Amino acid sequence: MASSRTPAGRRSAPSRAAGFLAWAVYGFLVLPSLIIVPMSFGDKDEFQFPPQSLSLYLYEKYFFESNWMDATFESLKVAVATTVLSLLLGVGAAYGLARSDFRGRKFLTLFLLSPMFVPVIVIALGLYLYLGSAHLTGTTLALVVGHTVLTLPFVIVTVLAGIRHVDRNLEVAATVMGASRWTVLRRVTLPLLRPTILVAALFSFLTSFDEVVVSYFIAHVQQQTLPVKMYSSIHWEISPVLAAISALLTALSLVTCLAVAAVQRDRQHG
Amino acid sequence: MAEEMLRFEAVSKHYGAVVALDTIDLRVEKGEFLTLLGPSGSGKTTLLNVIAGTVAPTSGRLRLDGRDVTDLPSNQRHLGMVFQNYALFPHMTIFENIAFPMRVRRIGEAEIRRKVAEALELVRLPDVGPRRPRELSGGQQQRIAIARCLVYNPNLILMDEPLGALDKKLRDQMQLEIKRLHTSLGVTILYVTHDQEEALVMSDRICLMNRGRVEQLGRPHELYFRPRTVFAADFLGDSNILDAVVQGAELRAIGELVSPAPPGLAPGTRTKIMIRPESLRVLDGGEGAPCTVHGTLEDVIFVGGLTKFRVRVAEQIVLIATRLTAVNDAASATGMPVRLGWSPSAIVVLAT
Amino acid sequence: MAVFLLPAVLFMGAVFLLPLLVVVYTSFSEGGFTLQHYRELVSRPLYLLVLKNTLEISGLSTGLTLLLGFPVAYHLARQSPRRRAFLIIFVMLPFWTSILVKSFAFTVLLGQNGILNSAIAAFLGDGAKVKLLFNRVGVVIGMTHFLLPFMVFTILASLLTQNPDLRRAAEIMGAGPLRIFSRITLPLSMPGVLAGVLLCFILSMGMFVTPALLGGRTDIMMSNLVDFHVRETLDWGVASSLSVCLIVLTAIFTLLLARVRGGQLVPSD
Repeated sequence: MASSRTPAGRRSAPSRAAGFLAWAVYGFLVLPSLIIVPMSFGDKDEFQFPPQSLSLYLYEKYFFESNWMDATFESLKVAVATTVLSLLLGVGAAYGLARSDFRGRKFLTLFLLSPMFVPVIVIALGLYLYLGSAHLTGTTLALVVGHTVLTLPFVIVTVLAGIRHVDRNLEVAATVMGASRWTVLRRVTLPLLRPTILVAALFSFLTSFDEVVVSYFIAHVQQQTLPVKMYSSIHWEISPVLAAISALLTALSLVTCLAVAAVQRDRQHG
Repeated sequence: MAEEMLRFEAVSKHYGAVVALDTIDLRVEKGEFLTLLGPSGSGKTTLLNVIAGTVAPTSGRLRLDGRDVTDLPSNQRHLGMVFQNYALFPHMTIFENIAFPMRVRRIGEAEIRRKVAEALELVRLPDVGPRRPRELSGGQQQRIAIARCLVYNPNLILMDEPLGALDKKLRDQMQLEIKRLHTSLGVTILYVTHDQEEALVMSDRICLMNRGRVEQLGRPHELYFRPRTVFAADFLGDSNILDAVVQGAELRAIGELVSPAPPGLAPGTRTKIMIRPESLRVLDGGEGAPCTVHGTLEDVIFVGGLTKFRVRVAEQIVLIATRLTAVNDAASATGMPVRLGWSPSAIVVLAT
Repeated sequence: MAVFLLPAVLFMGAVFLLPLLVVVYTSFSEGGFTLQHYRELVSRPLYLLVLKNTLEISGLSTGLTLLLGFPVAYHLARQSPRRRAFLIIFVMLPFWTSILVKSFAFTVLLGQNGILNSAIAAFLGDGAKVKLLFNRVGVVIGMTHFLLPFMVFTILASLLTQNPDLRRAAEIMGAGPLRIFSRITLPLSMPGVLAGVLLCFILSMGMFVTPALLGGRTDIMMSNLVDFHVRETLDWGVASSLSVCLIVLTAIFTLLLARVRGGQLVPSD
């Protein structure tokens, strides 16, 4: 879509109004995440916006409080494990779906992607009842499994989309030249899918790291993840340390966001 | 009889109700350059894919160098394949691309280096080894793709419209390049194209395909001068096709068009005849010819080295005569009465 | 190919399908087979109220999201690809930001002593403060903020697939920008708009964190009620029957969404 400038170069009134509204919404979109940042540099145990003096007091509180650090570490553990598991299951599944043609393939695809269409609370309840009866709630394994249920569909969707950019002729050429299916996968398809897999991994990691509903249901106090601890804090006794944590999480989101954009831009110039 | 490299035995391919290939019987000889020619949907690409192993036939057998390979997977058939979009691995250097099939066959590093250098010499691109495919032009990429095929001496090289993505001049050059490689190496090539000119230039034999069937198989000359069906006559080169009926010893087309009838046709048989535009001459003044017809010059079309004359000889019939452009052709006035002449041997009777 | 698909399928079967079946089973059992957990839902006014809440809040939020999201999508569609790649970060950042961070930010922004009210009080005195948190307003604001990226991406995708030649042809024929928009751009974007609306509605119906942190007691949505029954009353039966209702509700709109997208919920060839 080209811009709707008149030949004289001036934009029409409706398009200027639309532009103004758009910018207002851009502001609305980033404002919440951004006001956190100045607040996080406050120097007291209360909310100050803007802070009266800048200090790293709240960050120190975060890094030196064992509760928060334990929760953070637990989240990191779970996020890494979830990412690895999702990639192992998802990349293969996406490849299998994209490069095969059998009856019921559409149905199978829908099945694998169905967690995206089920409300999280229902998945959380299901896991709670199911794992609870096996006395598995509260374990890191349960969290990894629960998170993977949520991230696996997105890994599959991402890799499916990425595979479409891998020229099928490349795989046919390699096969006709004598390569086995594993060789084709290893030396042709996967190297070309690297940027896609990276995006899927980032998505997986961030989703798991920020996941709250399922974790809230199946984690015990000792295995609290960072988001669960944050949720309790916001709900019950709101603490200014949250500003520091939120700022760090926002930074993490921003880095992921830029990394994904860079990878996608690379692919277009690839 | 020359040695056989490839044989199709009653190969059919059905996609549900759609018949892509209908009982194909075909022999490809060792060292020959056979072109599968036809419009889209004719089945030529399906046929190629059956050989490559990417498509399994619904029925029939496929023999490669004597062996029945119908059930043999793609990667064990020892074939080479060249694609329209080159299919060079973008994440590997040119060297690695060409080395790939040899690495798959676990050939030693020194040997690989030698053969890659040889292959690059063969396609006249000796220095591009360390570069990436995207740094090369389309024509260069295609030459590398061909080099990649030649390097492991496959039984048969399949080429799927390899020049379709190149512009005309480059295509003409590449046609000769491929032909040169074929002649000097003696490798068997199966070439797919919809471009009849390309087929005529390059092939030892042409397999003309139409709607899943082999319409006609033969040398280029044969297909051009002795097409057997309307489709064949129409697909290769320009043609003038007319209805005709057997009357006595003559074939009479509409109006004055008359030719001796070929033996063996019953009187009253309706048939179609074809004459190539270059076999029709626009006669000067009192010039004579074995067969003639009167008409009105409708249009003179200048196509560079050739000039086409559109002559209306009857209410619904326009004949096209072509000849090398003469200097005074521009002086021909449209609307003028003209006479066309030809020799009866130039008439081809087609099966209806 | 099976070797590629089997692990994922087995995993999902074991850890997604089975738990869902457990929920369905639990909703129908108390000792033996029973419908009491469902009868409970229709007998007590609380449940209908919560259902009404859910639909209202989802509807309001989706509507507001559409109003705010369409201009953004339209604005982005009209940019050059380079500018668009830059501007889209404004939409991607909130998309990738944790819902807790966003909810916390709104708590700080909208509270009685929060940033907005402090600013209002500074200019107009304490009496002019507005209650923006722990009520319907707060939930809708928070929800809208969450939904905007989804709406924008959906509509943007639809706008970008529009053939630019259509607009150019209309321009050449003499149509002004307003007419082009109302007669060509807008109608052609309807499938995208519809898809965006359905998607946002589906997402908001299942929301848990936003109503919990930004809403008041009258803003409880179905997810919160499920949580309440698991945590407080330990009534897993009703929690399950509520969940089943939520699934059914979501499924209806998901099927509608599939219809709009031409029978495809996810990109395929």
